[in-house]
Amino acid sequence: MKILTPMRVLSSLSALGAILLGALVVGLTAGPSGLGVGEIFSVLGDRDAVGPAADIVLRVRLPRVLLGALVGACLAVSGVLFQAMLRNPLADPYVLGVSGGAALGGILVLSLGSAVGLGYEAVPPAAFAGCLLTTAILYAIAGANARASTTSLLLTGVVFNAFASAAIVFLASMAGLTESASIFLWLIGSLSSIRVEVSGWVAAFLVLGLGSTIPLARSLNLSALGGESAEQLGVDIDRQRRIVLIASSLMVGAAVSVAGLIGFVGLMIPHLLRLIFGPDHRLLIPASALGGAAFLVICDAIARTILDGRELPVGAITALAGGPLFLWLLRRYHQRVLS
Amino acid sequence: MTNAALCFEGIELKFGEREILKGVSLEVPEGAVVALAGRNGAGKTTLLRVASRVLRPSAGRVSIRGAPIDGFSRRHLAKELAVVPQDTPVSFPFRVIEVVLMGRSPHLGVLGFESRADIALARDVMARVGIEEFADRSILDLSGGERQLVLIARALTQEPRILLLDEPTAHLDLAHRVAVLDLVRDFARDGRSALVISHDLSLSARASDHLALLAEGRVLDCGRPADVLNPENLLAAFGIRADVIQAPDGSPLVVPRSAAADAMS
Amino acid sequence: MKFRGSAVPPPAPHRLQRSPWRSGVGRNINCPMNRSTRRLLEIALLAACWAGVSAGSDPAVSSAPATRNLRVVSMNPSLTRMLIALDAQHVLVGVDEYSADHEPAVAALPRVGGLFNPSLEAVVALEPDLVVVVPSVQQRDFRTRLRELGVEVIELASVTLDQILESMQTLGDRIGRSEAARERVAAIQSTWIDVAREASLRPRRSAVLVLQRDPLYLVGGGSYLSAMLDAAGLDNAAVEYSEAYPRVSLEWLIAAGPQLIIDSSDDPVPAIEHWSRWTSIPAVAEGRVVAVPQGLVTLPGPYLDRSLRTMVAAIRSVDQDSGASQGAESH
Repeated sequence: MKILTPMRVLSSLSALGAILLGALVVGLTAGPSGLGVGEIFSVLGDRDAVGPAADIVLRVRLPRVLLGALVGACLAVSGVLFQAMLRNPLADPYVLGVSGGAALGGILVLSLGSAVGLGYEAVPPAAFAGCLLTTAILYAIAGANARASTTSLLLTGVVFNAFASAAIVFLASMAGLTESASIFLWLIGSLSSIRVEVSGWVAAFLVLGLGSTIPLARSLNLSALGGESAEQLGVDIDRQRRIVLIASSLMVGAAVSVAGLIGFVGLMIPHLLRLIFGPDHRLLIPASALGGAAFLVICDAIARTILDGRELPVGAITALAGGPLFLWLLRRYHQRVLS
Repeated sequence: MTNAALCFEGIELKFGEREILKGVSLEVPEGAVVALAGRNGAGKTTLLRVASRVLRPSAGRVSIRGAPIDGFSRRHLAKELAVVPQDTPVSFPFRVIEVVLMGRSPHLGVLGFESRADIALARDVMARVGIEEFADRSILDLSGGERQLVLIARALTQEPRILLLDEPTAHLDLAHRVAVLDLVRDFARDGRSALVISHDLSLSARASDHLALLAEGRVLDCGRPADVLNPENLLAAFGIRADVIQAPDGSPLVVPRSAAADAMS
Repeated sequence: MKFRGSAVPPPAPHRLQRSPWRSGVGRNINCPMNRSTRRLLEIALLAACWAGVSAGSDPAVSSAPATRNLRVVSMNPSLTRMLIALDAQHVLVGVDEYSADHEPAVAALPRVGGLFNPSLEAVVALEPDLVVVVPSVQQRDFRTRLRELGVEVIELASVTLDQILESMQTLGDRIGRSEAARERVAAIQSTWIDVAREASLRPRRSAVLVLQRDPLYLVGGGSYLSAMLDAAGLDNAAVEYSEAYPRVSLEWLIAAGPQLIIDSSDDPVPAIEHWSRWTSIPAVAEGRVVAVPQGLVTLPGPYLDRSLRTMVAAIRSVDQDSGASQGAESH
């Protein structure tokens, strides 16, 4: 492995981009309807296409695949950022409780919304509101004392998650059968209820997140040596922490609001890419976006086709793939993480 | 106010109710190596942190060549001053060359990639420190002593004018201790300066131009090592009795007496 | 065979409503009794009246011998409805949450929990003779515990049509309403035959019955609702799924291309509006999307004949609308 140069960044990202493109093709061609690849491409090329193939490819699969890519990217990038911020390669985007807040907001509406006339459309905004509230609280804690706050942040996250879990269990046990099904799907993570309108928001937050944190990539490298060393090398640690916290929380919030708690993407993709490309964040952050996108699109394609015609939630697939992969990574990293 | 390379004036610092530094005044002249010694908890590391602006004193001022550091931008300060910390836990498997190159950070732009010149400089420093063979190894795989050398190399790559070292020889064997202190002496030529915290009094005495003893949050004494290292100062600073004898080249050797032996005599 | 309508026999009239004692106590001025004796008689008669009235309101007195003092707890709304339809709601001493919330006849009864959280304590406190449940994994331990405590538990399935009819008969036999149950079952069966015969005169069409839009749940081959579609002259496109309520992908539905969509999800967005996006589905293109209220069609219970009629009416209404528009186009 050589030193990171712009050339290497470009070539690595191109390779990942090609993989993502392949994943998108797989996503568009996978499905229970038995459409041929040729048919799919002809539909893609024809703007005025009508008929079942057009409906399926352009109006069911295409938005779902694109949104899957955006959600996967958001989760993976926020995973990298949380790992950098907490200086722990085992952190995942849900550890600080932002996802708990979002889940609580979403499930509140899912279970009680019909009583006040709120339909499913209100779930993503409610979830995002939950995420914002949690982020605000975390920000207040993190901003207070930058030096001691990693532990405070983690503890806050533990408390949030515990509280959210308890509240969700309570709501779920009161819910009727139809709400229970929706709640379960939301908790495990699913891309099946994606409304096309929200994809703009997710894309906006992803761009915002990448745009604000890629310039911090080098200083995030320095943070690996500890906050104090980074500061002594010229990094404004407080500002970096605040920006990273907000950017990654918003990305997690956007992803979780539309797709529920899809697990393992935020933990594993950064890991895998770190093993392959090294820990330099200047490459790792954009690479995670591409890798996370590709991974989730493929998992979703599997979720849609593995049981003929019926659908598994994508969160089940990421966990099935992620579990063993995570154990393997843990074994490889075990001695290193503890030194 | 002087034009010393690094100057501490009346530094006071409290952690909550505890007063750590109670008015420290110290000068590090250009071209000099100043050793800083004292008991654990006397405030040595704290003083270094005040110099690198990681901690803010409740009173007093730090200045570099007459200019107070409060007015410096972070990058500017990082170009002037580099710190070799006692130890740093590293969480990600960066390779040694990458860690050393981190020292170039204050000189690079926002998204700046390291240039060929930067890389050459880093390799040169690594060669001088003696860790060139580690270049491609993960820093997580190194021993404590090897890591310390990497941190020294990183600080030197920063090309500062002032080097602050916090016990740089703590995990090093004798050969490496000598090598590092020679490196520091080398560094201090051409108008640069170094402030070294060390517990190895005898070795520091030999390697430094001045020695300051920190006790009770104040500078007990500062001056030539041979003058400062005497039994009265050592008793006041460390609370132990010690003999100071002279080495053949005139530098002082501190030989502490054990409490038991002391009681018997 | 003509459909006779509800054949539940009316309850036997209370004997004491025609009691001679109530009308003329102490008013016969020709009675030779003296004042104090009359007083005594009044009091005795009043006491007897009270006893009679309270005896008259005792359900055990007027009902068939098998239901006398029977105490039943129902853990499922379909079973509660069965009992109400068999005019046996008076045997109920406790019901589940859903029944209490949705059936006015039992709203005042003590509640004993629901599908996921049945309360063993609440049930046992009511000292029931019989607990009727729908077989479910969630309540397995609950059933076992009840049996261990010596309570009779009968599991009555209500997923397929045959199960529902059999359950109704079993329940009726057990509580002494066999005749009423037989009549209800016969009514359903005859309606089924009627409707099927009418439908055989028309061309068959493919259809889906949507229970929930998001996630998409349809009626599969394993449910009585699929039999209902079949009787109404429709081929359930999701019959290939053997379970009762499969979750399918929207893609599958589009590819299956049913000619009729029956949407029974309770969603504020109207069915026609919701499905209008997918113009490639024949049902949408031909305007054959019909909404039915969720409870009307989808709660398995004793009035499947009415549900079937409702569904058929809904289907015919759509036929008329689309037939009219097609007729208009052809002019």
